[in-house]
Amino acid sequence: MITKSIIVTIFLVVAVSYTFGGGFQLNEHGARAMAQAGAFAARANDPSALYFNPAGISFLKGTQVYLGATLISPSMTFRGPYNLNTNQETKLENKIYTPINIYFTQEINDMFSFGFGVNNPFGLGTKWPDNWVGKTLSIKSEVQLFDFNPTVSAKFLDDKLSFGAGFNYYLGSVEIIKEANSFYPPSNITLKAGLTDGKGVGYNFGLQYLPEENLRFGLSYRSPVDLKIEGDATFSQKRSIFPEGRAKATLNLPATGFIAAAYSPINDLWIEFDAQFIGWSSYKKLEITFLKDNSVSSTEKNYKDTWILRFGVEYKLTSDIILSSGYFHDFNPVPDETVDPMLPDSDRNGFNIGFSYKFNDKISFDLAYLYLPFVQRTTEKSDLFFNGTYNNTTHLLGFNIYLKL
Amino acid sequence: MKKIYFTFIIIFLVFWGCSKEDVPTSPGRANNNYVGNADFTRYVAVGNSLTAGYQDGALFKEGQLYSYPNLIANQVKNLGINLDFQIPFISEPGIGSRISVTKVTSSGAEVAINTVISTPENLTLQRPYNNLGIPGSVVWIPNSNGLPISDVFQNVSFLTSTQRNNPFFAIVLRSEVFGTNLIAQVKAINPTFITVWLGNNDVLGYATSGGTSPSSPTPSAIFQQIYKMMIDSLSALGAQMVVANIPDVTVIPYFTTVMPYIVTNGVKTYLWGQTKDGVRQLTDNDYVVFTAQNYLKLGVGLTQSNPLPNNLVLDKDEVAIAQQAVNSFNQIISSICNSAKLKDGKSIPVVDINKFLYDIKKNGYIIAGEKYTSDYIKGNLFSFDGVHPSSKGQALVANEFIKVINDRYNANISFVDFTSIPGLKIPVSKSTKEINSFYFENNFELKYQEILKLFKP
Repeated sequence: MITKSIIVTIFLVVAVSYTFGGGFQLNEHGARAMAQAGAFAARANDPSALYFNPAGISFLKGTQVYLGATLISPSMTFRGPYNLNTNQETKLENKIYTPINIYFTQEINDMFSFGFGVNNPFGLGTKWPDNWVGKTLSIKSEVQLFDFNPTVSAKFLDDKLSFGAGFNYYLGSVEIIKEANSFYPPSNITLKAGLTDGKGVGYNFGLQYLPEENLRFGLSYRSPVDLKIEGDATFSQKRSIFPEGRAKATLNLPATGFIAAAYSPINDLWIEFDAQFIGWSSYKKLEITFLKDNSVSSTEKNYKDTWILRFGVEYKLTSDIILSSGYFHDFNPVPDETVDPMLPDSDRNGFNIGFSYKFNDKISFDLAYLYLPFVQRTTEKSDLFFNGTYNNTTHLLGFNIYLKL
Repeated sequence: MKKIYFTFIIIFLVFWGCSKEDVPTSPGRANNNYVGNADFTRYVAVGNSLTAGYQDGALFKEGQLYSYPNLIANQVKNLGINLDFQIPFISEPGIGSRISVTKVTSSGAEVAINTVISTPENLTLQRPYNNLGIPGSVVWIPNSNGLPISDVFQNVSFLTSTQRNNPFFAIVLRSEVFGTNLIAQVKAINPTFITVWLGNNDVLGYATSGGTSPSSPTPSAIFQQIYKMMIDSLSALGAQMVVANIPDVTVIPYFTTVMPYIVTNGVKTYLWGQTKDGVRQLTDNDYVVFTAQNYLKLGVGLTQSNPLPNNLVLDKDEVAIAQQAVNSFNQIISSICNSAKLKDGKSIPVVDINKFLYDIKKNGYIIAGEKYTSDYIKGNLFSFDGVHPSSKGQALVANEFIKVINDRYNANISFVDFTSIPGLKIPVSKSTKEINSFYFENNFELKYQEILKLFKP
């Protein structure tokens, strides 16, 4: 038995690519708006105006509270990767995500109103089988962002014009699990930041113009936010070459804005058309710095600015019941090169339906259902060398309780 | 009104209920996998250590399981094809000088080399093995008379193993009962499919010994003569075939890990070595072999009076000779295969491993977001011996064969799932404390500076 030793230099190889796709952005922040495909920024006539157009709270009488949640159930499949000449299908594990929304508005006097909202403008996740073919890209990922949004508004010109503005304080949590399998035994990498580990600030404002009884125009804007996250990187197999310990990253989340018009051709019927802009080009790359060795994992994203076109209808059937429906088309911001299984995005069509039921003058209940099939997406030039076909159908169910105190 | 209300509730519940079952299935790109015209019923692999699945300086069961012929066989089996691929397994830890990484420290990895002699398994098989890759086998056996003798046609005899100090002839070919030489054993299987990857050692031995042993690669004329005999004999068996060519030796980590210089405070100082031109300072065109690290640690190569010995330096003239041999062998292989005729009247396709490895050296290989390179250890495609592919490297070789098989035999066999192939075995630390005490520095310079300090005259 001869034993000798050779010292060879090696260094860290944890290939890392992380993403938070366009699909993480949520626009379901109130069941009544959701039932009309989110075409709501021109009317913005319930407390979810705090999200859609803060100018809208000017017209909410007294004290109002609007509370709700959305159940989101994505079903996704991936076929491929074609890079391995295979067409095998992997299914995402079923999981339900539940973004919430809480809005409070208070009329201060004839001119001013105040509001406070909490919701989740970003937040979703994926969980693939532990041993699937894309495990080096993503096994589990979850992002959740809370927006705390105090707002003031004022109305002018005989209540024909209203302006509202707010401040946004964001808290965000992230959990990402993937496998580093260059070395054996393979190691899961977990990046985890709790809710108070991700922080950011922003502002928003909105303008509403009501020239006629049956006509509304709305314009609103929500600033981009740089969410600074610091969390822990842990490895299921300990190796001195792994950058275990604290890690930090900044997520450049996009600005969003609505241009909206609503019209009531006959009594009890409103139709609205909104164009929502999302400034995803802010998301050029993601850099994660591992503090142990200051190694940086940088991933190109190169997202594009994008639009969602929204069309909604609302009909007051009786004094107690409002029926709503809508359709939107969402152009995805993710270029073919950077689509990955963490939350693969694709153009989407949203089919919405819902209703409101008024129990009495103080309490009503809103329910909305959104059927959201993604346009099948096949990538042929993935930077990650993970080409394949993604399909996704998501069902969303939103409900809110509306209290006029 | 209540009625409408409840109707809506029911509609929602139905939708919501459906959503649990409604998982979309996508047609994706239509590329269901099939074996096409390829007939793998009786598949035989002819080759050397690369074919045998030799890794980390030894032949052992796990490396054999991840040899490219066995990986190809598994991909075919996955398609429901009945295929019995028998391997001359050697139990762990194997036979050879097995290298393992024992420790990862702040300055690098510490490697242990153990001479191991384990027992062969699968000895009761009453026919030749399907993997007939024999580590160390050559197209031409160097001999002073220049006789065209070859491991392909050499009579099966335990004498060969003894003469060559190589136990693998006896282990892989076992007995004349199964055939009097390699070709006869291939024939005895009545193969439907043959892969051939041979000839590497006809230049590799020259290169890894720094151009000393043997003192030249196999002469092209002899290579041509024997290789043609081999292909003629194999193609006469009526099987489908695929042949791989030979990679440039300078792409392997054995020649790219130790640089011909050391760096001190950012300044390069070239090492001294014995070359064809005598003792001289090395240049960027010279290669230093992997094992020279042990000599550098002792101060050898740092001064003119204490140069690296000839067998540790593949100098620029020797590099040119080795590359010339590879080019010439590859031209011979492709011309012989192009003019050969298989049963279907078409020629034998060639897997261009040379180009493939050159691309990897240049660009690396990326799959599912992870990048692999030809670098030692961190590149993950070569085993710890710096010459032979790792399991993942073997998977890439298998996939290159499969591409050619798919193309030539109208097959559509899926590639080996590279991500499920085990990576290099790097020890796992016991505690977080240990991890924190190793602050890992990616610094090749530092190491040699420290060495210099120790051995400064």
